Amino acid sequence: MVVLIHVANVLYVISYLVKDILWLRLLTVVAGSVLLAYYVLLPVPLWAAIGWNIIFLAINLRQIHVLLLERRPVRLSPEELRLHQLAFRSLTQREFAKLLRIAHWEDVAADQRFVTKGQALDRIMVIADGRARVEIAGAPGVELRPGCFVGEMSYLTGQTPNADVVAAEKTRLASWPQTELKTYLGRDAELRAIVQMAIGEDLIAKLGYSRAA
Amino acid sequence: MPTPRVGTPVDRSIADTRVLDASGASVAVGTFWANGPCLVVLLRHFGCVGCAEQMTELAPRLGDLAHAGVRTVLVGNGSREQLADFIERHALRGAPVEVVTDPPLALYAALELRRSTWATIGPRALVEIARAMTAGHPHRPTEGDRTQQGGVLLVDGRGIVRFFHSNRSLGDHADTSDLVEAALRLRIEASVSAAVRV
Repeated sequence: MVVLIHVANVLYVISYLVKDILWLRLLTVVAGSVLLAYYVLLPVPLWAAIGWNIIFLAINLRQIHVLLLERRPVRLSPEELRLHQLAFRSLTQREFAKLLRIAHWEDVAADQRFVTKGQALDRIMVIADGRARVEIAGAPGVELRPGCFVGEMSYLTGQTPNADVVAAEKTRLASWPQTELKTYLGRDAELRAIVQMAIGEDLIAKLGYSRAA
Repeated sequence: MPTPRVGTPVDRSIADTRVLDASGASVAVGTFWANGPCLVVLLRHFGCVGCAEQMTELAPRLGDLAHAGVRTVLVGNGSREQLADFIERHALRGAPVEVVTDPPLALYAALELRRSTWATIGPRALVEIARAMTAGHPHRPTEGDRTQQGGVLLVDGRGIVRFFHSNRSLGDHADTSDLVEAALRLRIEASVSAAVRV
């Protein structure tokens, strides 16, 4: 029976030598199970040690489950892949998949206005397919193509748009509710920084274009 | 000297404060925002482990700040040699940022930034040191004032305070994404095309 203690501790030694946290936890679970068997098989079982080992096993099994979920390959639909390439290339596909969890898809008919001057905008959008134009009286219209953000200025400033945006043709948009997106990004500093870079690049290009026009 | 308040003009006593640039020339802080918005980041000191952590976040975003039209100035309080080492250590040569130093702590005092032993070695600071060191930032000797805390001041081209943060402790600092967001807001406002805002 003492051999069980040696087997368990050899497994613990190996677990301390591996760098991958998943392997560390797997080896710890096996080692803990062997140790558990030893405690149970004693003439007088060590119930306190058995109880603690069961808790350790439960925690490790839960974390192994989480790690396995995180390591699953990401599968994006062709439409999602295209959007990733158009506007979120700096994000890994896994990060982008996270962002898509709170995204909605919208279809807008040609000539339909989907941003109205003076009306609060509760979402930020990216054109996935089609074209739109920014319309403001007395100013040249700006054409928005796939990959362009819509509503990012309102998202950043909290102000209402002072221009209309109209679909120039049948247009498909991915949209994120502003509040939900802010809350979501507030929990992940790295993701927030990368999304902000994507928005910033688009914004600066757009402002530069408007200035040139 | 009043603590800067967002939306109000920078106090004259702050704008008139002088710091030393990398060549040792004395420069009035107010000149930083004379030609446009400026982000002034005050470091605890050049060797601070919390500041190293902050620089790791800030350095990749310096380009974003520059694209948004914001000049970034880092202020330490060590010697010129320590300033030069800091630039090398953080690979800032050629980056869109200037580094200056304020050994008498005049700007820190003008902004009423904390100077406290508790903020440097108190429980919160110890946790922050551990966090920074486990993230790979080595502990270095003090290169400036030991108990001075840092902060951030964002001023627009009209001399109005747009963002201010006084660090509570060694590892506390303003979120870099908040700074970039504030810079982008300034860019939107300043743009000729501010008339088009969607």
